[in-house]
Amino acid sequence: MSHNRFAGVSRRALVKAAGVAGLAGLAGCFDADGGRSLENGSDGVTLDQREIHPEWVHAVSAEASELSPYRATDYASGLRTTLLLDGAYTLDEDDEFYSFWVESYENRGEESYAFTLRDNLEWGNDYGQQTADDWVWFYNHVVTPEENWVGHPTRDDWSNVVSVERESELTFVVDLEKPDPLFVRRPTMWGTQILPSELTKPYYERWVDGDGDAGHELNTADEVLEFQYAGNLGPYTFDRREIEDRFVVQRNDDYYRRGTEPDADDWEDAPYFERYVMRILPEQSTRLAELRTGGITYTELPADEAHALENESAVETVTTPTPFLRLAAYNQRENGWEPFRNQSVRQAFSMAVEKTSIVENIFDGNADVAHTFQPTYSEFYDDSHVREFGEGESYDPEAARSILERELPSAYGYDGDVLLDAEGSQVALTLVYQTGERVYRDSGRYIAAAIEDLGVAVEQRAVPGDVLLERYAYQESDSGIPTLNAGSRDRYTSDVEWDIMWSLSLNTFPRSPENIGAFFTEAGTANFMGYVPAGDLEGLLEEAATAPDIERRRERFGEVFGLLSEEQPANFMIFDNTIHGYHRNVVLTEPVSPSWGYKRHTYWASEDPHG
Amino acid sequence: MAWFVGRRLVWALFATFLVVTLTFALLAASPNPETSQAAWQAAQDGSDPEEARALVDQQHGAGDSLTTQYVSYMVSMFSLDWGQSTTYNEDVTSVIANAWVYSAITVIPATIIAVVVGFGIGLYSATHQYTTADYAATLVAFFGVSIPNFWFAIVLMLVFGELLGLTPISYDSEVPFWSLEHLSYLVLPITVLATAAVASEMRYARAEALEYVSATWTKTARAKGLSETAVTIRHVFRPATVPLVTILVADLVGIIFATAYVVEVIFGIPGLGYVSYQALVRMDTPLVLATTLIPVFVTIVANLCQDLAYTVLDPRIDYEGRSP
Repeated sequence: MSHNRFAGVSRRALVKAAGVAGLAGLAGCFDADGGRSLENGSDGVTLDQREIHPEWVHAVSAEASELSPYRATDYASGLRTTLLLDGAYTLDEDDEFYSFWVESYENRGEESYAFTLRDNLEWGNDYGQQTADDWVWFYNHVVTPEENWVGHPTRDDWSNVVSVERESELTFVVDLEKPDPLFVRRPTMWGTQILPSELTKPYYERWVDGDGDAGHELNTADEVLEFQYAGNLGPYTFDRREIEDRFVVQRNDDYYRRGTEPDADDWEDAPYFERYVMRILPEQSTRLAELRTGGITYTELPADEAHALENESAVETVTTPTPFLRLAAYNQRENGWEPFRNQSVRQAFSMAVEKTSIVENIFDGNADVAHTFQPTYSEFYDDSHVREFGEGESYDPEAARSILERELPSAYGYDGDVLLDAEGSQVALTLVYQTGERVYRDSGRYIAAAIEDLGVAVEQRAVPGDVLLERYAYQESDSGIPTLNAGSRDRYTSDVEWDIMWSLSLNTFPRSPENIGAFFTEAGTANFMGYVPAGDLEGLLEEAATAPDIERRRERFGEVFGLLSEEQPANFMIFDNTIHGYHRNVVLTEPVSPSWGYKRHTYWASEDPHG
Repeated sequence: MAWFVGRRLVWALFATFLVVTLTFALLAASPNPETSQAAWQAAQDGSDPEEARALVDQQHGAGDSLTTQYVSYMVSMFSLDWGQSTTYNEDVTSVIANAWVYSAITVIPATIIAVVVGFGIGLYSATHQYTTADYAATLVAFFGVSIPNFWFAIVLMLVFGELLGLTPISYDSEVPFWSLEHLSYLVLPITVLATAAVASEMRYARAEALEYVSATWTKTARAKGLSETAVTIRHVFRPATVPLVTILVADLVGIIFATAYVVEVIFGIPGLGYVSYQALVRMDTPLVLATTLIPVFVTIVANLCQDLAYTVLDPRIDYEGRSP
């Protein structure tokens, strides 16, 4: 069953519209535009059925490597820590502020934001109430010290912040260096989890006294790894962690969010499971078999298996868009094919690969065609600027061959169907992609075949992800350190030659696209492909970043993404979707959006999923 | 004999030292994938990739010089203070202590089944060569040796676990340890482990036993009127056990650290094979060295025990002459 039953948000809408005091048999499904429509569900789910069931079992593929909130920035670790710590706030389906620890915020001009904490936040282990002082201390002693003593990997998120000051017991003010109307959407504050200042202080003092291990000892202290400090700040309390087996947490009886706004009804008695068990099942077949037979409540599904599961009566699937773009990068550095420095040649290659076919036939429809470095749902995407390649009429191998004939240096030429280089040999390119997922391999083969249709020989290389980065993307800087952009494309190259790199997934940052400069400006820290923009991309990005109002910002970013689609530094292939598989009894409480899961602790079950 | 044993124990320590040193060298020479990933993520975010690399290196204790790291690890290994796993932030001994039980509950039964059933069928095949039973046993053996473990495990899981619902799909560590229910969780993993091992032991047992089925002493024994069972056990099986014991140790270590890994991944068993593999993938040096040291030492000591067992199994073997 691919449709889903929705309670929370839909109920809010329904109550407002019809004055109904409960959710009587609602079911939701998605219309063709990706929106959600409501229908009277045949499942007959009512709020009366909402009760607390014994357990939610979530199957994951990997163990977490970090459990300290100062270190846990990877996906696997974040899955665990967010069970015990909600964090400051999150963003809802409209990318708007959604309250957790921070009850509200106030924009005091474009360079100052005041955040006010709820007054019922309690740390565990007698650390008292969470107050503004905890956040001020965090900023001054974890974020700003010159040496990253605690190993906090996302300190740079705070680079535009000049101070965090206490205004009252529960309110602190964040002052910015440059105006930023989108500050609340940045990962600086949203989702940020901190430790009690009183817990951290002794370690900080030891570090100040010269103990270099103090940060590591803080991150690995039992008190931190066992979340003894977490108090009522998350939906669950820590029970135990069995290495490479499971992470078990128990329902938090004192959870601060229970029955509070927004969506007080949804949070009335949340979470709705006595315990949450995260089981590590490394093998995908095992996770899917457990889901089909009701052994687990939830797992993420691979793109090419999702359709098969939609027909399973035991499973509900939800497909959500992501900001992650998979591209086929053209190597414009010295060790790549030189004609890729010509924009028209890149365009020709991009128009020879039909993206729709990859999405439909390889990703089984569970991805979206991309045309620029921004998803269509982004408010900064303006299709009037975007030029398409490789979809519909813009997929045109014949036109691509004509462009190559016209644009390649005169020494190149076609002999029948074969493209010859200056030596009279067939042009041969290397296409490299990562191993691990069948869809990478199949798409790689498809791309190779499409390019071969242009008369070019293609050598395919499939290598592990870390090898792809280390040997093909990184270059050695003058100081000997591997870096993604060591400098001039005429001088710095990767260890191994390559021409096209498929399968890397990049974040397009739709909430705050300034970061894309890392990939597409000449000196960008992640510009591994050696792209030098022909247009004034840097100027446009600067204008967009410093635009005083959101409209101007949208216009400028619209132009940026139009320019990128025109210049095709890489073939922007597809946007990944995430496919979620739930036990059929699970009642979901939010509409499909890129923010999917922000209310996951209000999901409930109409019947015990594992009873 | 004491001199022989003492000398072999010293050699065991030296060989272990060599293997652990080699493992350390290989780890030191390999790039850490977590470092690449961290730097990639930082570069994407517009952060400093070099700082990201340094943080990962620091976490993995790679900030010190190689010599310092090597000396530190070696002292830790041989003083049995194996330090903390950089992946799990727990004592290495604790990680291993938790994991080995899960390997043992599948590997030990599988090994016992492999020895009893494998040797039994092998002997029967040898003494009933070219009969229908022998051909059937050979067929089973070739099936067991040829079938890929990971494929066999998935098929068993889907057929018996999902389709027929006769067994659980994946392992559940919360089931009471001493219970029939627990046994139901172990049936499929043990079956997969034992299938390959039974087949392997059976082929060896058959081949070894065949050498002695027509030996002069077995003919003599039969002429003296001994029953066929007595001939098989005392005059065929006993001399055949010497080479069989030789392969048994290698098979056992192979099952724990190779085959068991596959079974543990597919059935979600948090055993030593899987933990060792994860330690390697994540470049968790303390855990890699410890999980290397254990099988190396076990293998060497088991080989010593096996050599001593020869003297019991075959009285003609004697190490006394090797004393100085």
